[in-house]
Amino acid sequence: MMKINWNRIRLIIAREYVTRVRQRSFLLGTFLGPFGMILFMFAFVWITLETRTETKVLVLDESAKIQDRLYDKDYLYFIKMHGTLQEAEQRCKDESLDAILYIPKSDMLSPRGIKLIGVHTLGKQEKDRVSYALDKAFEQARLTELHIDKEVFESISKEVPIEVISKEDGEEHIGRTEVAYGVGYISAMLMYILLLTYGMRIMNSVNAEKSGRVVEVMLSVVEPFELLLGKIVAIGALSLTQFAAWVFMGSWAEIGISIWAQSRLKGLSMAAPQSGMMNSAMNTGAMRVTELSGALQDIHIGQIILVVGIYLVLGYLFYSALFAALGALNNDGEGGGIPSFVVTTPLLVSFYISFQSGASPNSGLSFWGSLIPFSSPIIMPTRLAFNPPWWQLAISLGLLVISIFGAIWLAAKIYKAGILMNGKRFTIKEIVRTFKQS
Amino acid sequence: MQDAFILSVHEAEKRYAEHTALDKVNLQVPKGSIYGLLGRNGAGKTTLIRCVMQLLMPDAGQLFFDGKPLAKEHQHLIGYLPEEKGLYTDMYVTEHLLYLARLRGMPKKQALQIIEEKLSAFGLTDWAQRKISKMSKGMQQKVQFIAATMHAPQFLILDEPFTGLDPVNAAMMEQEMKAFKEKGCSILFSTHRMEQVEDLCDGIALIDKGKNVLQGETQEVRSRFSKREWNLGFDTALDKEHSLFSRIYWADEKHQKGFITLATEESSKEILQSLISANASINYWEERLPSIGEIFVQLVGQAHDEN
Repeated sequence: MMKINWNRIRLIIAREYVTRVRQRSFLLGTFLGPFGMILFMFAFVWITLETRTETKVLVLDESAKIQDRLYDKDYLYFIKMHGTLQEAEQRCKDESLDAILYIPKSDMLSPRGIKLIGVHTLGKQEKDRVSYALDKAFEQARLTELHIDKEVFESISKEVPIEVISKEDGEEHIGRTEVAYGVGYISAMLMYILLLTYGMRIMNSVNAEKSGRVVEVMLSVVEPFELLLGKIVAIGALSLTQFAAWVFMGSWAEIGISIWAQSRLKGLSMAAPQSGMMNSAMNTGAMRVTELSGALQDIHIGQIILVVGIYLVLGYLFYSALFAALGALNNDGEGGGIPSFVVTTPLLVSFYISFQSGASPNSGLSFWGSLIPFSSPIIMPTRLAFNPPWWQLAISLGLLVISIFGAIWLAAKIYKAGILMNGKRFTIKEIVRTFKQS
Repeated sequence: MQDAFILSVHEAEKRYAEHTALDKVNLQVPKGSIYGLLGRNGAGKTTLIRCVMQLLMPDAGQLFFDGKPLAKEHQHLIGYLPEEKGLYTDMYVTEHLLYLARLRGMPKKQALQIIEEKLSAFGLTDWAQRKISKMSKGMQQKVQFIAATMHAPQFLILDEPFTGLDPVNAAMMEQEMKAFKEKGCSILFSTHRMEQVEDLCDGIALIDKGKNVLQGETQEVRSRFSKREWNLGFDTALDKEHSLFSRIYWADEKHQKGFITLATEESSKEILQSLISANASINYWEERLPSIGEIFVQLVGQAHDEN
């Protein structure tokens, strides 16, 4: 019976953690990484805005019923003209316009022969925007022609509101489906990214250690299980440290941005106190925020964050053990061994199932996906906002905890068998044989 | 019960899918001796060492430590120095040594004291607080040696300990090994450098392609491979017409040094007496034994040629 020395595990955790924390790459990644990310996002937005070009469309409306109903919007400009198509083409050339919208005389209800002639090949977005503006113009023209009041039309084409109520434990919970779906989706996305990133980090760490012979010295002093557990816990703690640093920096950045945004908004409202539209927009925004915050309270967001956190820790322990085993079986920079998709595929499949799970949280796929340890850390969090039965949650967590012990036990054996097989290719048969002996 | 051998390996076997690393290997390392494990690359030395370190389990055979079946509790009685890259190069020298000492259960204060002494002995005091990655290969080898020995093991396994060491540091390493032997520690070390084997080793084992080729005390092994050649030197001019003198191979005629090969039925005593009776003034007479290097090449070369 293997005797586990917790003091040695503590020393291993400390070494693995401290040596990584003080690495320049970690410090740069932690403190400069987010700035780089923000910079990249700003650059992306800036390039998107700055490179946005105007689209100028020359309108040749022979019916004369549409051209006045085409409105300029967001860099899309309509220029009216009278004349022939040849004249329009010439003007397009002379004034460097982008396209000609040719509307022949025809029946307003079933128009024919409308053409959008681009000087160059028009992009889908440009085409869609012109098309949308044209639809709206025709809609108005038809209303006029048929003598239908615009307000009447709007009132009859209104969407039928439906209030979604969940009646659980005798209590009614209103309108939380979208919020629950959103929370589930964010949880799944976060879980997938973190498990994959941290898992790969463990795998690379084991692989790097394998390329030297220090592991032989270590395994002559400590048990493989101790070394593996120490490494997993240390890298988990390292990842949490980085995550906490990002959250901390993000919070301060958010506070800073909020203060800046509030001062900007205050300035705007002082400058335009009579702007009813703005007040209305602000009121609507405030209402949405209140609704959202109500819905978040309604789905017990605090509890969800707690359970997602538990799944993150357990999922990390489960998957990191598997990634560590994978790292031990592969030689750095060489082929052979076990390909990494063996472990990454269950993660990826679980992530795809999570879309289905968010849309249909009580389906068979969601149910089984949230119980099986390979997928439960990603799928159960997507169901949490929909209040799954407690017994399902208990079984899911129980199975995951049991599987963690199994995975670490298995990984420690594979680790011991694989970690010394450096510098050569080995077969599955060989791994199994060594595994049985270790 | 006390055993004469610190390590006994009986019929150890280790097979991989594509080759046999150990094929019924036997090895006996006497207590208090320095024992050389010789063999070409891929001969099975590292596999055997890993089995002794319990990093690998042999498929068959038995290993004994001081007469008892080798077990986990023996690991802390053994010091191990792998060939190279046996250090965490991202750590500082003292930090690394302290880490290993504490994993072995040594109290921090005691460990720090030992580390300080050892670093001083190896001339590494100035490097105590510097990163291992900044050290030369030779310096790293010294740190590895300290790491392997600071818990005062009964048995020391050194895999190519002279790798990367310049002559001065190699001599220092030899002295350290001898000092450990003086303290009663037994040492098993693998090497390619045959000149050190003769100087250092009380016994040797030669393995090739996972099989025992040769084993025994160093001098006894050399005697076993004797070609019945005797070195001799003269003080005076010689009568080269003498039948015996014509048999001498003059390695250095000017200085009157050479060697003579004895026939199977001849004894060295008889030949020496014949030379003296022929008025030869002999100033030395010693058996010319083959070096371990020559034996190594002879045996391993043979095995190679047979394939």
